Amino acid sequence: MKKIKIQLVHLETDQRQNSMGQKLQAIAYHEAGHAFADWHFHFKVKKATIVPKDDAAGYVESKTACILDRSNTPTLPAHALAACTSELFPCWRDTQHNVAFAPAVCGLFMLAATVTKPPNYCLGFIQRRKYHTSGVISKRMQKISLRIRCTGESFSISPNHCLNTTP
Amino acid sequence: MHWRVIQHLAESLLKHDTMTGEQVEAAIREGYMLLTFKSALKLDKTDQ
Repeated sequence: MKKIKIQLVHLETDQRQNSMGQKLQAIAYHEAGHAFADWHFHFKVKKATIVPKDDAAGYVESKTACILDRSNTPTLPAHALAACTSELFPCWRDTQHNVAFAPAVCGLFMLAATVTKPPNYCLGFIQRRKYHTSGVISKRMQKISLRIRCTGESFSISPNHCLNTTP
Repeated sequence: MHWRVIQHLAESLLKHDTMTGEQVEAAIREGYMLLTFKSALKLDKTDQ
């Protein structure tokens, strides 16, 4: 089975994309994914941009409501996230295998990871805001896995992981 | 369903380069509205 590998290094674009337009489109979709996820989870979006800043090709600024309580549990319930994740998959199949969709999904899943993974990852992820993401998407778009590395720590998430997460 | 909304938001972002929170929210709502409108149009066509 042929696999398409997509790698994003903190919003930097895939080098295999040639034209500037395609790069911008990928960034826009990626940021739109972040903004949409933030909006969906009632995080207040303050700004979304595709204008490069420092080492980022674009970014979304929002008030993140995912604060850990005394028992180090994220305040956002995981079942809400699981519901959102399950809603996303029909959309994924509707994309007619459009590679440009991948950055958006990565964006959404990066946010998803902040809530579904143990608190230490959540903290690292949110505070540092520096991460490496790579996604492997099968040709039929039936299998997605995403690896996120956060300053030395790494973990993978997959749709099944999100769906099986219990609050 | 979300895909179309994300697509609409991405297109808006490409147009504006930078969007405020209000603009993002408006684009998302617009995306949902377009989606509903298109689905209604489809239903209308099938009825005819």
